[in-house]
Amino acid sequence: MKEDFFHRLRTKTQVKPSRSFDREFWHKFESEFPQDSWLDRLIQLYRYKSRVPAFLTLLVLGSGSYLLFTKTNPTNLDPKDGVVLFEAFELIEDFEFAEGLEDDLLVSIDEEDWAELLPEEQNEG
Amino acid sequence: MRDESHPLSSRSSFQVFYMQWRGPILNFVRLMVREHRIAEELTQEVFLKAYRNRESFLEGSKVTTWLWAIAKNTALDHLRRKSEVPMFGTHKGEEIEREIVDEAESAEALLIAATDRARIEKCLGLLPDATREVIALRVHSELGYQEISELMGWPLGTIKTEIFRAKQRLKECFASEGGALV
Repeated sequence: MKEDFFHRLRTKTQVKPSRSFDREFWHKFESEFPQDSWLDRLIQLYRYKSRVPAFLTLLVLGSGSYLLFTKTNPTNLDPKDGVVLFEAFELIEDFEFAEGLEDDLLVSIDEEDWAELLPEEQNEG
Repeated sequence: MRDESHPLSSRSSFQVFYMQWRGPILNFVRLMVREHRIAEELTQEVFLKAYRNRESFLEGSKVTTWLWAIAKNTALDHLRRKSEVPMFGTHKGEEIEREIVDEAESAEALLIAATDRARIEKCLGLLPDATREVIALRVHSELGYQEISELMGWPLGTIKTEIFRAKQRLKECFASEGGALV
């Protein structure tokens, strides 16, 4: 019952804000604190979140490393490049086979034989 | 202010904070300055100050105590600036009408509410400013005696005594005004 006095006093003296109260307040608020642009938010995020700089640094390092790796690693060639390379290996193998044949059989291979042994396009070149 | 759970850490959390406390702050300020329109303007200023100075809020302290300190100082600043202090019951007609319409619908309820409020405001107006300030905090702030003591800068015992005496005076005043309203 001790609280009743103040509780009833509160009820009796309580008023509600007028209908325009909130509108007026937010108008004042927006005038003084306009909504930040996305750039401001990003800067604030960078300033206030201690983990963000570390994360961004790691992201930059990681992305850089990945790009460097993919650009220099020969296993990541274009499929067309792979076909050319494969044909080049085949040519080398044919050439080595012909050379070995010449040595093993002690026969000399003339231009005409070479033309048969090697692929046509290589002969043309 | 770097704590995300803090009510002033972002605009969205501030909106919730504002909606929760704008009513009690308005009622507190209104008891202090005794004019509804001015109380509304000062209440808006209280929340603008709170957001403006949100960095000054110390983590670990109670945000409502901090808010009421701003409200108290804002109201006192207004009273100091003002040369003439209006008495209770000197509202402009349209202000009285708006306040009453907000809280009561029927003509009878309007009359009772207006009469009750007029009596209460008259009795509150008889209290010294500092005592009325303590009563306004006790009635509308939901702060405890200890927090009111810290806010006023008075010893806890003084606060309790002041509230007790004010309560007796108000009861006597209400009785003499012909109402057992409180």
